[in-house]
Amino acid sequence: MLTICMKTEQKKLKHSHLWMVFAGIPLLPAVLGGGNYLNNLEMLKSGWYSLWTQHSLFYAGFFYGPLIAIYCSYIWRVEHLNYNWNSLMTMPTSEWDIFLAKLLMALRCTVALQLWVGVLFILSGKIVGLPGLPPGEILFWLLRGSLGGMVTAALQLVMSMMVRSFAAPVAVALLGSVAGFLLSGKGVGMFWPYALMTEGMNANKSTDVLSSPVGFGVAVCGFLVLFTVVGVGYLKYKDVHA
Amino acid sequence: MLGEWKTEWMKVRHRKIALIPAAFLLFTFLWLSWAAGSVHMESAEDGWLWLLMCLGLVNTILVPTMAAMLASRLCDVELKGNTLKLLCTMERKGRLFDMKLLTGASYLSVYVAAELVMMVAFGRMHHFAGEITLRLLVCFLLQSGLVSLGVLLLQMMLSLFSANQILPLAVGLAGSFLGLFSWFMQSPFWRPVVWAYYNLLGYIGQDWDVESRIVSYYEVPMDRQALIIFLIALPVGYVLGRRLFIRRTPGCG
Repeated sequence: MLTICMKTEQKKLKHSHLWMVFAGIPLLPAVLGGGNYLNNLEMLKSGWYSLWTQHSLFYAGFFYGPLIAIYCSYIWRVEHLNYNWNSLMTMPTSEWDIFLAKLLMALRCTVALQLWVGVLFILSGKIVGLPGLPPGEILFWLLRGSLGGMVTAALQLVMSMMVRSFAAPVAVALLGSVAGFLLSGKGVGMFWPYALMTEGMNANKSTDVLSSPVGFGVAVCGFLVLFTVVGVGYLKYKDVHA
Repeated sequence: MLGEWKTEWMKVRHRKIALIPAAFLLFTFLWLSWAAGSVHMESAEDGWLWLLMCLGLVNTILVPTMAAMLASRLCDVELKGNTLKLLCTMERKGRLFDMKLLTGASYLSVYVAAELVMMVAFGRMHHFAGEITLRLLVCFLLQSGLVSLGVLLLQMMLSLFSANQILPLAVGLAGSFLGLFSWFMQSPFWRPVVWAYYNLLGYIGQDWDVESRIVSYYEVPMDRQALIIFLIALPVGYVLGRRLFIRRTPGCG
């Protein structure tokens, strides 16, 4: 049933032009990060690692979260329109399948987004004249960031489900991401779901700041389970206001 | 006109739209409080200049997304209910556009005024020396108020023309990004980018001493050319947007 639900979700996203947003916005940190790198060559001496600091600085801290939030808001937008909540809740499908299908779609999006950012990072590195390919460690940080993105996706799904507004959860994601960026700087990022993207991506750092991968893993799993349970619980016990 | 103005406010009743600027304002206050604890200034007189500079930067990041949200919330009443066509049989299209913009601008004006009050309160709380001069206040209003109005106008047009609010929000987000980068990369290419005017209309400079890690702030003249361009572009954008809305109102054929 979960597979069928996922296929249905995929159909709902048809003609949404979401891909244009996800393809377009990561171009900005790639172009501007590369430009900033070239402007500060006298200070940035660590090659690919230096480019990473410029590329990831604002992307991870400010914009990755809102991008995921746009996706999550869109996934729920269909249900908030035209009494679709009534249709959704009377389908012969469990609440777990409904929520998990949307969650898995969002998770796929976070990983795809990171892969695209990785491609752009390599391209911008080549354009600014860096030799060879980026170290595997950076690509690992990139994918680790998507684990943090998964937590954000789960939280945003819960919020977009509860709030009928399309825009409000996106604003919450922006504010949460900025707060996460600041909290990461203070070393308490593990306790704030929006900071896990920054922590995972090792944003604006050229050496790995995650001294405890176990702590990061526990935080990711803990938040992911928590938000999923809250989301499914809300679907099960809250009356529909179509 | 008064009736149409009242109608707009009745449409936003119980929609809790004021919560959007309130949340952004609270967040700005918290951000500044956090930043105040970690900054090393050369002298106490620098406090106000630091605060104004920080506020300009914070507005560059937050206001474009806030304006996108505000515009989206104000316009989705008609878009969700698909009532634009019906509405345009009773209300002049141009007037509807004006009223929507005016409602958004009202929220924005209250937001900028609240920022001013917050700034003064913040300065008093942290015992900044001296007072804010009239020049600084005018510059702040030009930088934060005028540029935010331009951003709101753009977002309003995008929201009115998009049944799907992804595009306006994505543009708002991209605008935050571009505006933020304009602070770090000085270039004449930023002139056509509306969000970069938070930086182009900057009026405070800074020197950072690498050794002592102390920052000193000083007043610089505002870029008059950028100001003139913006003052011309804003009414031109309004007239073009209004005309476009009258000619091609979504749902009105």
